[in-house]
Amino acid sequence: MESRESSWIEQAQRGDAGAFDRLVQANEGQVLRAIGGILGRCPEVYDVYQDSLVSAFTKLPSFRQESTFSTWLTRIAVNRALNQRRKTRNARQDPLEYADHIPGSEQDASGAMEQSELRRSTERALESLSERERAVFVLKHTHGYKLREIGSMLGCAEGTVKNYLFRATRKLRVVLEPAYREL
Amino acid sequence: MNCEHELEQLILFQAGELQEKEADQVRLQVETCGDCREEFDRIAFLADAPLTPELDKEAIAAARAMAYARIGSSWRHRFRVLADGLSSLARGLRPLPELALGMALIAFGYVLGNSGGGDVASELPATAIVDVHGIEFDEATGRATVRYDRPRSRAVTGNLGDQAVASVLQAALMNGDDNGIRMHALKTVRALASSGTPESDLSDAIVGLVRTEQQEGLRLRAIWALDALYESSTLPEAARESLLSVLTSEAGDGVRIAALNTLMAHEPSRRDAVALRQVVSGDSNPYVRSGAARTLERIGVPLEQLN
Repeated sequence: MESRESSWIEQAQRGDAGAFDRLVQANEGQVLRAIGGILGRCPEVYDVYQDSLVSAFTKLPSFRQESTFSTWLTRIAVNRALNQRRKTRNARQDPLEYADHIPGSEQDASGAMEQSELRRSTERALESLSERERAVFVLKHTHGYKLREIGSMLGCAEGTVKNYLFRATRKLRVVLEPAYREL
Repeated sequence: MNCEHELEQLILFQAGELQEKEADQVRLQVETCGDCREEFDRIAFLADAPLTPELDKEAIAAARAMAYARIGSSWRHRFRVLADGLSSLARGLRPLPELALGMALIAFGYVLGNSGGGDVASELPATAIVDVHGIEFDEATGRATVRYDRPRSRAVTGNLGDQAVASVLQAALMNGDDNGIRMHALKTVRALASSGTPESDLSDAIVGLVRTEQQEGLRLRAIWALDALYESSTLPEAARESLLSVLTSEAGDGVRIAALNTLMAHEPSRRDAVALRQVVSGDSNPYVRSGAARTLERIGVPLEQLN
């Protein structure tokens, strides 16, 4: 897998658009989980993804494969998502205002309803976190990155990342306590 | 669980961030202490919560397509590789790196062409992402002049058959910060539509706007541009799908009507029946409903089959 990825990277660096597309699609889920986790449900997720791909392509010639392509692309996406979140945080009163307008967001029947409720509660709970607390929590628990890697992505020390994780967990613990109790 | 220190240890344990010896200690604590066990379960619940929203696959594909349209075709990338190569060469030359860099830039400028503007349809922008700041369409000649880059303005003149013109118009459509330029670019594409088959990149960019643009006016112009571009040829599959997706979305009446009219004008097929049925049975606008019903009849799906 690594050698195949390495070969795609080299081809993409030589201008092979097909190789770049293979790299992008192989890592798409991971990158979108990071962006979606930081921004929540909103149209900007797709704009940030688009900008991240353009940025990645622009920076590709300088990518030295010191990390995996996945980590590198996720880092670009995370930083763009954080910038976007800073821009829109104050402008938007209710981050879930789009939820009812996106295909697939309708509450389904029975068991899916509970999952949908939990998802909405979680999205609201994540809104109580700062940008960095949210980014750290999402990257840790949806991607399984080590705190050291997250620190490298966000440009801060491992100890700082650890503190963000503690703060995020404490806040979420309070906000999601009713949902936990209902289990 | 009364101790904050213990809570932090539990968080790190759950996150797999403790060394083996510490992890063993916390594991024992969780196994033997009811409070610690409950706190650990609570932390695990948070970590397992659905932290990312469900995303729209169509919008993801559209975002990817828009990104690729912005990136442009590989020849532009090769120019960039050349630029990087020249810059690297300059960095490696000593003791006069600045002079070498200047020479490299001059050489690069020479490669790309170096006109100050005017009638230079063959000039190509250096990157896919250029700052377009002026578009003029000359009805007498049927050609457009697109000005780009600052502070030293460049320009290309021609029609859609000229790759440079198509490229800068595509770049203008991608300029999310300037709706005026995007609107002007769409008007120009429509005006130039009869002048040649567009590059697929330009077409993809317009399809992307049809799918994802939030501004209704721009979305409407994008649909009209598609309609004009493919007036005498087959509508590409991606364009057809984008129109169907608009038709069944919560877009405004004007946008849905434009999408329906364009579909009706471009050989709708039985593949469109599912979306059209949805429109007939659920659209709030009677014109859209009746247009969809007429289209279904045209493609041989009788209305009585709707139920």
